[in-house]
Amino acid sequence: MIASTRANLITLITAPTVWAVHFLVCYVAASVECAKAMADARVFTGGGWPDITTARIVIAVATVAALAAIAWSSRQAWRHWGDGDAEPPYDDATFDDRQQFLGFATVLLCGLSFIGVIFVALPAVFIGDCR
Amino acid sequence: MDSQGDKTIAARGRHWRILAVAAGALVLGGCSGVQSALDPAGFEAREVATLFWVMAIGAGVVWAIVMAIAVYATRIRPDPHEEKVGLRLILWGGVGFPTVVLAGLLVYGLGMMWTLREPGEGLRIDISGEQFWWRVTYRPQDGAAVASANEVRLPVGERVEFALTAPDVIHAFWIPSLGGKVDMIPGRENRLVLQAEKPGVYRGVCAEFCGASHALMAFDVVAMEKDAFEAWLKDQARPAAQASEQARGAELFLNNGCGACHAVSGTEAKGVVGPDLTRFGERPTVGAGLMPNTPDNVARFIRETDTLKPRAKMPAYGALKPDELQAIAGYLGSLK
Repeated sequence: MIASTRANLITLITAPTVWAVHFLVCYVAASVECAKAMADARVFTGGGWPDITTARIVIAVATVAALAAIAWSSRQAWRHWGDGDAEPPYDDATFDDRQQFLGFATVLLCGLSFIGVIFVALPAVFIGDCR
Repeated sequence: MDSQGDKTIAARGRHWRILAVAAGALVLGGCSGVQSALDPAGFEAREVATLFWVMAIGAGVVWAIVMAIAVYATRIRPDPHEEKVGLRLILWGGVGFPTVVLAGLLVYGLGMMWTLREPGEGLRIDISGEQFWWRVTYRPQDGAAVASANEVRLPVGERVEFALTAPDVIHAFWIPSLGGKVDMIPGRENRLVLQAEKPGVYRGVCAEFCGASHALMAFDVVAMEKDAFEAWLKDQARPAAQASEQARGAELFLNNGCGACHAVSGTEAKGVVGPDLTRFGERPTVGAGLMPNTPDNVARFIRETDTLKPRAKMPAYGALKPDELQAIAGYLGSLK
């Protein structure tokens, strides 16, 4: 999550890192809440499955934050991509080529991470309890 | 010479045809029967089969499109294409299309997951996978628990809950005709809800390798009409019938120590190490799905347990005389 006028390997991995952290937050939130709730759940005696409202709120907040961070990273990468006069496929050993190559690769990774974060959050939209 | 060559070719063609028909029959043979996920007889299995067909047909369509494009690009128009067209193809075909298809499948799958895990409607059956048989305990909401083994009966049209455990190694409980499989893990209780839709006899298996006789660890599943099932379950509370003509078999059963491991309710046999034999005569198979339940097979199982079921805990009673084995088999078959 580094603001930089120059593209580098850290700006490149910002979005995938946000995706990974978001995944961890969702997974831990849901499993901790269900592990606690299922310990004394009475599913077999008509009590039904315990719900996961808290985890869903945590996941919603984490998803909004993650998408915002990825959007921010892609905006910066978009600027890096336009920063120079190099031509695709950006494979010369010059500053402009390096800058635009990293910028373009980061934009692609941002797109992938954006979709990834949405897919990770989707179960919380459709599943409201610990089943 | 020519006509002979034609004959050889014709014969070869015939052989191929026969082979193709045989192979087709072999493949299609897996599509129906007592143990096929493609021939669903329960709500869960039907949902999973639908999912399978949606995925299989969808994958087939995607594959055909990709192959068609490959043929077009290599055979029909092998010369370079406009860059704009190529970029557009990558963007829509490589990014847009997979994202939309995967999102659709994800939403479809998540919706299904939700319905497949609805709680049951009252009857609970505890199943414990053990090397190499199934301990079955019915726990109706009203009434006492009923012990059984290697056979699961359930009412049609009711969501039945299974509580799955294992005392020794990991097993997996799978009735392909009724639903998906669930692991049985020592120290855990996994849950599965199944709803049979068609009365009938199906076959369940252990779907996780658990030792030498893993493949010989199956069970019979009998889906019964609700009334018939309830009458049957109520009837389980009484001790097994003791036919007087089987007194010798009963005596041999107890004198040879069978009761140390097996229970027959209403008798001195109260062992809990091995399968409960109280209603053994009602079960379709002997040895956990190993052989049809006939007196000869039962006698053979007692005599050659170690070869019929390698590594089973029960020792082979090869020292028993044939008439003694027959008497015990007759006694066990009379327990109904």
